[in-house]
Amino acid sequence: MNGSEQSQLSPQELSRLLHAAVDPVRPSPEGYQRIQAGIERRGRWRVPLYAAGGAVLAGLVVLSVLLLRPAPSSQVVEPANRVSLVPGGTTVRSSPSVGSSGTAATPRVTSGPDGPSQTATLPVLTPPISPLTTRPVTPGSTGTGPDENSPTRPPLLGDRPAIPGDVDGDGKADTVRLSGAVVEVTPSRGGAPARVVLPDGATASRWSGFDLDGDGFSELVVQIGSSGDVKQFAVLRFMAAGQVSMLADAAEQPVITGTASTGSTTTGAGFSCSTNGLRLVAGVSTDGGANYDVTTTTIAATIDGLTKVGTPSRSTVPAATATTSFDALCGTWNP
Amino acid sequence: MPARSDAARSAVARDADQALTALYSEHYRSLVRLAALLLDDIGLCEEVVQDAYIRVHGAWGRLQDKDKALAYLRQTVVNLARSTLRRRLVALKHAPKPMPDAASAEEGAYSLVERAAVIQALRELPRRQREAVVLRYYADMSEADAAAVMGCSVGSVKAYTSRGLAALSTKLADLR
Repeated sequence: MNGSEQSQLSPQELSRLLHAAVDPVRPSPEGYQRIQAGIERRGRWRVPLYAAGGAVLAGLVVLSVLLLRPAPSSQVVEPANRVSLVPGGTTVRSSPSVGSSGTAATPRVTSGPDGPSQTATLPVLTPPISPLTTRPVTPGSTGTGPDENSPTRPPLLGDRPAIPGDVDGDGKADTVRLSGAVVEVTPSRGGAPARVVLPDGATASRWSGFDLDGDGFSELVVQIGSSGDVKQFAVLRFMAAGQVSMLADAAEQPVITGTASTGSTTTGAGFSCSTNGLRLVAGVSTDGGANYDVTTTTIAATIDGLTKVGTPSRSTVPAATATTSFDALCGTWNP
Repeated sequence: MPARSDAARSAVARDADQALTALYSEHYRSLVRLAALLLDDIGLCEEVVQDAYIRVHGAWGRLQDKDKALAYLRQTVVNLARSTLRRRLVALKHAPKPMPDAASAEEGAYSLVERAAVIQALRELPRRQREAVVLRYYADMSEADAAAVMGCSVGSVKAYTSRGLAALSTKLADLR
């Protein structure tokens, strides 16, 4: 009988053959004991294995938290175009016109809360820096302490308030150079000098460093023009590494000094520097200069520009007291 | 609460011990014989089945349907037999040639099994055909149950069984 003719094995026959083949297999009598021993062995290892696994898992979690947690960094990443980040600073390319000498203008002298308002006319130059922005002043951005609105500044290294001329807040006075309409500040931290180009017609003639907000970064008060006895000033503020900007006159209170007379009316203006800001003084005398009706306004140098703080105060003082305040009292002037 | 969970754990362990004892007394012998048909080395069949019992005991708390414990046990035996075969294939590739007179420690009953013609023919089948034939004609499992244990479709089980049966017919005819 050849292979093709032979009949296929039936399932029943195969089942019988398989059972018969393994029938001699007799399990050992220790089988149950071996299983029990294996179960005990497994139980003994389970607790330490679970504990070790838990410890490894906890370690991995801690490690990943440490790796993923953002590390505090002292590095300040500067954006490529910083001009757009400075809301209050004047753009150095902008050029408000400078008024001709002898024209009328303002400081506006405002009375106290319950008194009538009065406007004193001072024959001075039109402030070379007209307000570039009429944005509302951010409440709470004035006063002393750290300026949270200047995130691009490098970390403060010096004291509060800053020493005069320490523009970049490292505890050392920086080098300030005046050249025509350009103010150049070379930071003592290093890096490229910051250049401020003043508006057309302005000339920087002297400067004084003063921390006007007590934040550890000195502002620069720069005289930028004069006409007879009347002088105009600008305030420069450190905005970011390599950037110093001229603050816009958001309070519409020009920083000027000097006196002028028109008929029987004599007006005078001046300012003094403090860590609370600029204290602007404007006086009007209608009695031939014997007494002055003096209005005092505090202006803060914030990132939004020069902004008014509080309510102006008004008082009548004798000429001897008033005239001493019609000056630029702001530390030491250079050169 | 720890006390309550400890009590729950000990209840599961007691339950597993009782089930294990019952499964051992009823099915241990048949499972060892099943492993003997699946493995090339008869001496390893008890070890594989004992390992399967230990694993089922460890997983008793996670077993959803306790009535299917025997099916789970069988599947574990098949899986362990597969991995044992794989390990033995690797070991054989690297093992030195055995001594010609090296006698097995399990002489006697095991040698009878080794000499059976059907065992020799079975070992020449591909692994899946061998599993299908053993599960269908020794364990008397349905095609669906065999498919579940083997992890394949019922159609595949049919094909493996048919081919295995034909191959065994030829081999056994040659051996006679």
